[in-house]
Amino acid sequence: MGFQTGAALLEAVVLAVISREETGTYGYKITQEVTAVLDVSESTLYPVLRRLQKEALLEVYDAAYGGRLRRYYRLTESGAAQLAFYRLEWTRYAAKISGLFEGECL
Amino acid sequence: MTKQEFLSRLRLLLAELPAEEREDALRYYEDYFDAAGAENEAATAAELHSPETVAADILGRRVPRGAQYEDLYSRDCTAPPHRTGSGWKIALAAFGTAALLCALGLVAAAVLGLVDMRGLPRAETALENLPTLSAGEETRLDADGNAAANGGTSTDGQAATNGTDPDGQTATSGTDTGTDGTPPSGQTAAGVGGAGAGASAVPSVDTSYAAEDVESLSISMSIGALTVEQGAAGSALRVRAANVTDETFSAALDGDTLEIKDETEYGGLLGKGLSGLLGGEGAAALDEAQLPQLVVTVPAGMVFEDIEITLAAGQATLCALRADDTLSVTTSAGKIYYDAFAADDIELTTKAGGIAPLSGASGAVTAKDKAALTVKAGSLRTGRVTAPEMRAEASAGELVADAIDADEVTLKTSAGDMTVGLLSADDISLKASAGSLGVTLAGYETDYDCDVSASAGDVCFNGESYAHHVEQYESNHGSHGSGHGGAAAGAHHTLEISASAGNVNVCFEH
Repeated sequence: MGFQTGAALLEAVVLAVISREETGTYGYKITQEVTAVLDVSESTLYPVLRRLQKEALLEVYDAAYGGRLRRYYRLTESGAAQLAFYRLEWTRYAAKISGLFEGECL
Repeated sequence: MTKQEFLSRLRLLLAELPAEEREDALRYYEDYFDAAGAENEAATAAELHSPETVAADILGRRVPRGAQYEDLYSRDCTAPPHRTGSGWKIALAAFGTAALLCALGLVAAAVLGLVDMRGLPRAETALENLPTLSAGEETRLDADGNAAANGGTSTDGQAATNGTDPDGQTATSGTDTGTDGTPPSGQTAAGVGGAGAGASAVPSVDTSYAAEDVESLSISMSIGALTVEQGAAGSALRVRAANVTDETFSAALDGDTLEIKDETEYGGLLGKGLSGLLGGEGAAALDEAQLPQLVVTVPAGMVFEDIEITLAAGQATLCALRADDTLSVTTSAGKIYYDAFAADDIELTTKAGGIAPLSGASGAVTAKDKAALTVKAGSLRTGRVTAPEMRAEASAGELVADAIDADEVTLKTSAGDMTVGLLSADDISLKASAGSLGVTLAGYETDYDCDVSASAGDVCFNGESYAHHVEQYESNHGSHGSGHGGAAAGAHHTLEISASAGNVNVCFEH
């Protein structure tokens, strides 16, 4: 897509993707879902996940899958709160841009 | 390339990372390959481009340490300082020279958009709509009756501020509180932002308090955008809020403390996930759920007695906060940006989320008595910290201070990481029960009387292990005794290091 993705939007989308699975989701799936909507390379996801984990917006746990342990990510309460903030920031932002594109008065 | 080839190569490329971080990354990519399926190894490797690309993305955000904070927190066009040199040593000059007003950050921020900036959405942009409402639309909350009683000092000004003028930029300075003289650029920035469109955000509260009635300030927000900005000297203390209801919001004087509280629950605002976030529900969602927005304008030069600010989630920009007694700032998920803090006692705490200087601001933390920085999780970044007594603790997460200037300093990491650019103090205690602690000490090694104990952790001096370092030192200087520095003449600082399981890295300035 023609728009660059900033750190905030990427963080917001990652939190949103993970929030869709109540029991958490794993790195590969997060990467697939994020790259489906944002033009970012696969390798940018790990640093973001790591950072969000450090910030305690995400927590990780291991669960058995296919005979070995797989790492899952899920939102902490803080992460859910910050996602709520981003969601509303986005609606406000998107409404303004859409309004501009559609010729509404500023 | 097979998974094993990819991972082996990646391991080599990440050699410079601490073992824990390297293993975490390798574990992630091993999982990644497994999830993609054994039959797709080559395709997965190709999708990731190369181990070099993957490593660059990991290292690029980490080396030199502290750089990731710029990635995350730089909020405008100020380029992140390019830091070279040894690992975690932080270039002080990059921040010290940028002693600009926080207002500059606001101006720059107001100009930039959300998507194409590297940082985060800013509290001040969330408030753009505030000053441009037409006067007729104002539905003023009578916050527990107090707002009306205590307001009044500048209610006339509101009409001008909210003037129906479509070019709302100039209206802000039209208040009769003195801002029409030479408004500080912070206020101008708010006004420029105010050109934003739409009457969608209704300022449901706009109250002013005479500065002489207010000694202390307490702000507590559960979610939303908070801005504390500097107004004109001699003006009233003004509180504006939007998207709040009288069930959740209150602002009132309790004695001489101005207490502002919003308890909007964020739970109800969740749940739509990606489609809600990015899909076409924008307009509908905007109607049903608006983010609380709060702007507090503090007259220039005002010094409070106590200041207490708590932000559970969301974003805050804090400028011009000075206290005679205590200043306490806490966030449990949100991101807080500030220009500088000054008070007798300063406490900064992140339970999650982050606190960091506004881009271009010094981020100085200046305490006449004590400064306490606590990271329970999340990240905390400061400019120079000046305090006779200074304590910092990272139980998880990361803490980075450009410099510390103190008499007595205790730095503790129980699982988190801590980095201090330049530490100058008489008595220094460094404890790493886990996690890692990296410090550059002012002066020469011989200035310090060292007492080092490491049971399971590692202690390094200038990049080499302490044991080896002592051996070298003693063979060169013929010194004996428990601590090698202990026998050095002229040592007038004490340095106590204990690494029960964590790592301590000490470098000396000279």
